[in-house]
Amino acid sequence: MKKLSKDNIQFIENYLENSDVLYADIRMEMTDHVASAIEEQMQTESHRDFYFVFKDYMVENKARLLENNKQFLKNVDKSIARQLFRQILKLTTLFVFVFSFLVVYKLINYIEKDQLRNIVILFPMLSTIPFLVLYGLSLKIFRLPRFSGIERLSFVYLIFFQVLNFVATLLGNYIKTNTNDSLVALCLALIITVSTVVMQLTFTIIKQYRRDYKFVN
Amino acid sequence: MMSNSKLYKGSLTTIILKLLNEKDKMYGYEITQKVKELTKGELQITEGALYPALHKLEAEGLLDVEVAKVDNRLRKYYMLTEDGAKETVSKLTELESYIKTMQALVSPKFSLE
Repeated sequence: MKKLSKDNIQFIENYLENSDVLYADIRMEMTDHVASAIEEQMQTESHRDFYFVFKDYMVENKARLLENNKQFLKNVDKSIARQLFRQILKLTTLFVFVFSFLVVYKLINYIEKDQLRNIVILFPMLSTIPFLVLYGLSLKIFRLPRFSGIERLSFVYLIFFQVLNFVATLLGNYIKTNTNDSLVALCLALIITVSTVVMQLTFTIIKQYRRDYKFVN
Repeated sequence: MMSNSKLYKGSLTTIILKLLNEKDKMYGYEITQKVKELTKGELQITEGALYPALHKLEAEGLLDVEVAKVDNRLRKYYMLTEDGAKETVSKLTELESYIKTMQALVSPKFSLE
């Protein structure tokens, strides 16, 4: 069977990218599908040029092909949620939570009330730094293209950040009037644990993409 | 899915799992062609139906993936996970039971019981 050249493949990929198939993982799969279909078509109509076969294929199938793109992100989110849930259920997560609770509980005694309030409010912000460093490094150093799972992670983290920020603001107001060391330690330990879980998830997903798509770059 | 789409739609997952159970790994286009071949063109799975189903199975942990460089491009292969293999057995049993029930309703004389 006649195989498509590198230029032909690149042409298909560019076409799909211009049709808003932005993520490399889904585009790669669609490119292979379109290329396989065109190769088969060219086998039966050997006299026809690639561009004509491609044009006919797209006229007939483009809408169906792009339908796939729309539903893709839903499944990516589902996959991330599943991995997140699995990460939460790990014994190490419980360990991180208990350990941070004990450390924070001990440290609280050495911190002034006003200072503690400032730390609590700033805590979610500080917890984003390791995530941003890991995320930025992964994209730059490993030169990962726009993969759906990796990009959706920032969305997951944004949601978590809003929740943690909300908890921290409530806790900050609470500290103004009351002092319950256990409750403060519990909330801070929760913020630390959630940040650790998301970091671990980021690391797992990046590792998974690097393993599955080692040919990309 | 083309041809009798409403009747076949609910069975797409089972069809995919069954095919992957018979072959170590398959890629999307290969699945569409295999279904076309097995059903003598009666059933054609469209890209818009196949890939979301494959990605859903992957997200549920029933399929594992492997990417390989083939003919100047990257190809994503799907294979059953351990859970996927168990799910295949369960889905096939469910489908067989459904077919028997339908057969008993539609043409009682061909029913096994």
